[in-house]
Amino acid sequence: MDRRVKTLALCALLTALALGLSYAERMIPLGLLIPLPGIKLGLANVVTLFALCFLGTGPAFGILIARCFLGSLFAGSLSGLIFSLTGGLLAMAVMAAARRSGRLSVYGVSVCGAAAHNMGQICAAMAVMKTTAVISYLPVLLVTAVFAGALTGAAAAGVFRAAQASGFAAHSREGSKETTEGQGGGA
Amino acid sequence: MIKTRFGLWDGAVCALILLLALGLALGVGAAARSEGAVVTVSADGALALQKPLEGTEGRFPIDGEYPLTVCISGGKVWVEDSHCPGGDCQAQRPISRPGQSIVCLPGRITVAIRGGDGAADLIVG
Repeated sequence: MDRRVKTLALCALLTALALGLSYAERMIPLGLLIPLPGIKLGLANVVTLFALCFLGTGPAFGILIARCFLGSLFAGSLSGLIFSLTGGLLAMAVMAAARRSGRLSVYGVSVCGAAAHNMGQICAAMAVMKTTAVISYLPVLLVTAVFAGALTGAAAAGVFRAAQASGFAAHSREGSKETTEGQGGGA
Repeated sequence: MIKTRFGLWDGAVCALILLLALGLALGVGAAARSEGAVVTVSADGALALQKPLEGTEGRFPIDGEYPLTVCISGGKVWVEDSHCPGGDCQAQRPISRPGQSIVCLPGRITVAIRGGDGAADLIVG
């Protein structure tokens, strides 16, 4: 099968998985523990991290955009799109930069992404609410980002090890020289 | 391939983020020392209510896409009867110090306590 078709099919699967994880984590009553808007584990970040490391920036970007739009559409709340998109894009940019540094493991990259996601959401909230008062949430959100990021990092590390053991990594972009060929195959 | 074991640099990143959170929290705490605190409620960026924190007692309905009621009593502020789908604003604990806020994202309503005498909302660094 053509490599681009394979990448496209994989992106579609990963988008569906990210949507499923986003939906599933709503059933975890984290808001009861920390009743702040925007508090969540960010399990879908495992998918973004996987796509970023195994498929490249282009497909990961496509999956993220598709997940944000479809997630908002399914939730019936398009107003939430600005928050998920701002947080998601900033998180992906930071994770891509952190990964390129070569010093951080999947844990560190995930924590950076979680913190960036929360910062992006606070920026979006300041723009939407037209107030800087929401920045008072940032300390709590950053602390939760460290723990949530480490947790999703652990999940991602497990997935990465399984992917390596199954030989998937050898066939991914990671195993070969990065080209722009696969980047056109985003969902 | 990206490493899958937690390393020293990962610990450093976590520590850095926690330090940043601590710095921000201290900044908010510094604002809390100002006197003459005022409760402000903004709906979609426009001021909907402003009351002094001390000496105010009552329930104040706030109109909007998702109406809610702001309660001020005993130097504390909290949200009741919120019609928003999430209900996070209602679940939040009462706030009592300048710099603290309760936000209803779906309703675009912000309840904040600001320091008196033109004190800054937040002091960083």
